[in-house]
Amino acid sequence: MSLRFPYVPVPLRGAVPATLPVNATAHWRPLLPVRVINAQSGTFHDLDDALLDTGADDCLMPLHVAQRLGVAFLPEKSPGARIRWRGTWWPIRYGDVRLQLNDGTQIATWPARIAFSQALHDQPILGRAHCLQFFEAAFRGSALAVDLDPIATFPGTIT
Amino acid sequence: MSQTQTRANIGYPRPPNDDKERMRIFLRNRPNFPAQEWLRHANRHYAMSWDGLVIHASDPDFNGLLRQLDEMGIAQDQVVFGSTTLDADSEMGLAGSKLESVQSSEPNAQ
Repeated sequence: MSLRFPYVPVPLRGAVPATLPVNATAHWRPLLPVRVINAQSGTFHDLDDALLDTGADDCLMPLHVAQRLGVAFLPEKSPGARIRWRGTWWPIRYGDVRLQLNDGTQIATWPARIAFSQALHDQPILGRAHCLQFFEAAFRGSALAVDLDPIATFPGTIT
Repeated sequence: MSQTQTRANIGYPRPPNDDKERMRIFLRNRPNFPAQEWLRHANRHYAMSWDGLVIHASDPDFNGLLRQLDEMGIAQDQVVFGSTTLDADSEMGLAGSKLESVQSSEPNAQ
């Protein structure tokens, strides 16, 4: 059974893009609530608006999430990795956490290696590695919802 | 300067102990969050109530947001954190960002 999450409207500011109806007031995006858990301490951080992004290789979270949870970063490789956010390059650090998606009927929890960045006003991203790779994802355009079906080899728990 | 809605207070209802019930309530309310209220918190970190009905506080600085919650007596595990990055542009994949492994040092690398 799939986990289903409704798309979230992100209000438009300024002119309505040419691809939307003239009376549109929002972009509808697959923004999911996600819980990031420190597996050692059990402390968690609930995020409102992680973008489910099929074009992203990794999962990316704000650095302050790692700091608040006390996530231990993996040793930094030289020369390291970085992210370009709106024209500026920022270093990223990786850490191991547990991710949890809860649609109100099922809760999926699994271990994940996440990139953390200090990029300003960062948009949390759920990408392929350690997230979408574990689900069959169906983006329901007409229903404005996304269905996530854990694969047979899902590495975590479904409750 | 911080922005705070008056409904946010120590007396805000606690979330249900059942995480699924808590999320059912959040997912029912969250897509209907008022756009105008959302826009008030543009380009800030915010703490939304567990039920998705109200933004308790927002701040340009995440630690400033935590301080506000502390002052309001709101537990950090009873909110959902986020940040609004609103502008007039449409996003074009990876939330407008590019992730890569650095192959060589560049002057603008941070």
